[in-house]
Amino acid sequence: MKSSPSRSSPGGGCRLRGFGVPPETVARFAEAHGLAVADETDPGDRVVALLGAVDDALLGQVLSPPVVACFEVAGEPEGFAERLLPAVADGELFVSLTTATAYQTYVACHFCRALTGRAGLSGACAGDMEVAVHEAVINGIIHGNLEISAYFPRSHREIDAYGRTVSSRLADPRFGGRRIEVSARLREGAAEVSVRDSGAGYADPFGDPGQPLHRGLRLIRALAQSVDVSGGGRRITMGFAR
Amino acid sequence: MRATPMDYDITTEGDERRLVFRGRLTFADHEAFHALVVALTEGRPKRCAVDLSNLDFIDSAGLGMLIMAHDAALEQNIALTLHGAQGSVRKILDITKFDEIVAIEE
Repeated sequence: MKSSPSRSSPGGGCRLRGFGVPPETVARFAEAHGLAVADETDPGDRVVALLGAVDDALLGQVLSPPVVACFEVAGEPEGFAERLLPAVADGELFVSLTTATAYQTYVACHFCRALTGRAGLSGACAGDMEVAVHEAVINGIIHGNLEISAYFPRSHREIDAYGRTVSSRLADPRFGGRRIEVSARLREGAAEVSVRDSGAGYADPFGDPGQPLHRGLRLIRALAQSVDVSGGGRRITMGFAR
Repeated sequence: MRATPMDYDITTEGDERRLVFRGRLTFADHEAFHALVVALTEGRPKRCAVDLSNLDFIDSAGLGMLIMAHDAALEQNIALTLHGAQGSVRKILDITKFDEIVAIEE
């Protein structure tokens, strides 16, 4: 008889499974964090996916039950023990990607589709959520992790120079290797989605009604029922009625 | 369901240039946008019609790129209009009052 990990264990009894990562890497994570490894015949009802080379096809495939969290294995496993495991134990959906990967994939799209499937959200709610989460992810990538303070250029003549700045920061592991985390919890009548970056942080842009917001933040404010900025400006939490 | 990246076609019929977007127009598409704007306004057509009917998703940077195309056209006295937005794209145009910046024709 297989032993089933306790819900009081790290990650609430979730198991690890690798997608494009060597078995020894999965075993190393399991040992380091006291987790069981999922096997093919009995993956368990809550799986944390360790991802190797991440693209849209993999994200779209992996983010469905029994997977409750995805963690891109690259560089230091920042946030795995501190945030991913507690979130999963609390029943949240959680994705942690490097900035370079988050930039190259439609992470908000895959995340919101996965959440919609689990939470039975209406099409309108899912559409609003996807735009708001996408804006928060892009904001966290550009202004948070890549530390690019300039807003999106107004003229097409400036766009190539802006693009070169983005590309060079993405290619620099000090910026492109930082993590973007997207997590969601379901409450009675509401879904809460948080996006966390690993940048230097910034003052709450929603805190001062007199301060003009750029277009992306205006979209978030228009589409989410509630917006809360915490963690020194590194985490934005958006509420949506279910 | 796949998330389809942005793709586009530019064609010319008489005095009108037609730009048809498909998929998702988002921040990452800025890498292709300068070339798109140059191709759109090359030869100074009288009008540019931008067909959004097959666009599934747009973000704030996508809106910014539509404004770039509009401004580049305006510099050359080309009238640029948007057409056919539906679903999420239509909603984003509405809540940002985008018709106050770029002409939207049904």
